[in-house]
Amino acid sequence: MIKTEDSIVHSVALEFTATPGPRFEAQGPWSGEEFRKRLLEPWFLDASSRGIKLVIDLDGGYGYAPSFLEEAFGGLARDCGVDKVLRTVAFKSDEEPLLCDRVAKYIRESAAMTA
Amino acid sequence: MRGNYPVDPTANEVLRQSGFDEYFNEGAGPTPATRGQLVCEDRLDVDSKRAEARLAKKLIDFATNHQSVPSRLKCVYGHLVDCMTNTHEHASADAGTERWWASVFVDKERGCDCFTFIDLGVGIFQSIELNRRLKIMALFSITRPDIIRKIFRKEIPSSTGLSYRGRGLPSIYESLSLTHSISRLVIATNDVYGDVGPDRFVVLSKPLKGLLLYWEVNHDQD
Repeated sequence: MIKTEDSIVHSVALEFTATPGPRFEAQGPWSGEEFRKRLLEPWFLDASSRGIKLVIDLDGGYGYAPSFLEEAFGGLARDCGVDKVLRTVAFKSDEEPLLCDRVAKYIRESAAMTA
Repeated sequence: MRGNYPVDPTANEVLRQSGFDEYFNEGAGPTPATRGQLVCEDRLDVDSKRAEARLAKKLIDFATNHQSVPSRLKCVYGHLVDCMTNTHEHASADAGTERWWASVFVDKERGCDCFTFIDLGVGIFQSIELNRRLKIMALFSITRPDIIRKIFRKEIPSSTGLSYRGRGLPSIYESLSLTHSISRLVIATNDVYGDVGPDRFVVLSKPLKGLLLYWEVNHDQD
């Protein structure tokens, strides 16, 4: 974790796992659901209550299943609101620059339902 | 294990170097000639039919020789985990009752890593959720290869009814067609075989029970 006056940086690989798993806890260990409940939501609530940016560092691990990312960040948006999450959370990845846009897309599309 | 090695010398060599022998003789360790690794869910683990990220890691470690993971293999790691999850959720009527196997083979001659994922579940076309949609699609004369194409392109909604779900196969297709992280993608399920890149789909005379996905990652992308 790196703190500055206007942001706080958390690393998935260093603070959760380098080997992220599936979407739900019932599907296997190190799931997106577990990450969201145990770490991401508290980080988000802390950052938003202090009015600072929460920066999620996505580097350092083996990679991410799309379902992990969707459940973690899309799930956060479903719980806390798309706009609020997009205003508060930023992403960092030097290893996979396209990943940041993909996660932002998951957040934007998080509430959509099929017919 | 019973059976013979292939008579064809090339097939014989590939099989012997694939890690197949080491898989069935646990503890023997890989020989210097071993160029592959085979994993399946842990038979001693009661939760073994779940998605096991550590086994995806094992394959990636083999492909990278335990060095840092290049970005081309980071997407593969995610694909492997999603494949395991799909087997857990969709390969049988009751979630988590079908097993899966996954392997990597480092093909030095062609300069690529070859990943295979297989389960012997019901296959895409026999999954209960899709079956309902298939009946409707049959009315519009949509062929099975068309259905596979639509699944890869995310034109068929997730069976959960939630648009933010069902990203597994479309994300593998994106790695082939958009980001080019993988160079070849093959699928076989029930009576359909498809080489997805050249869009070459054929109907199998002998159906495969379950799902097989195969993809290649070129070494020169590093």
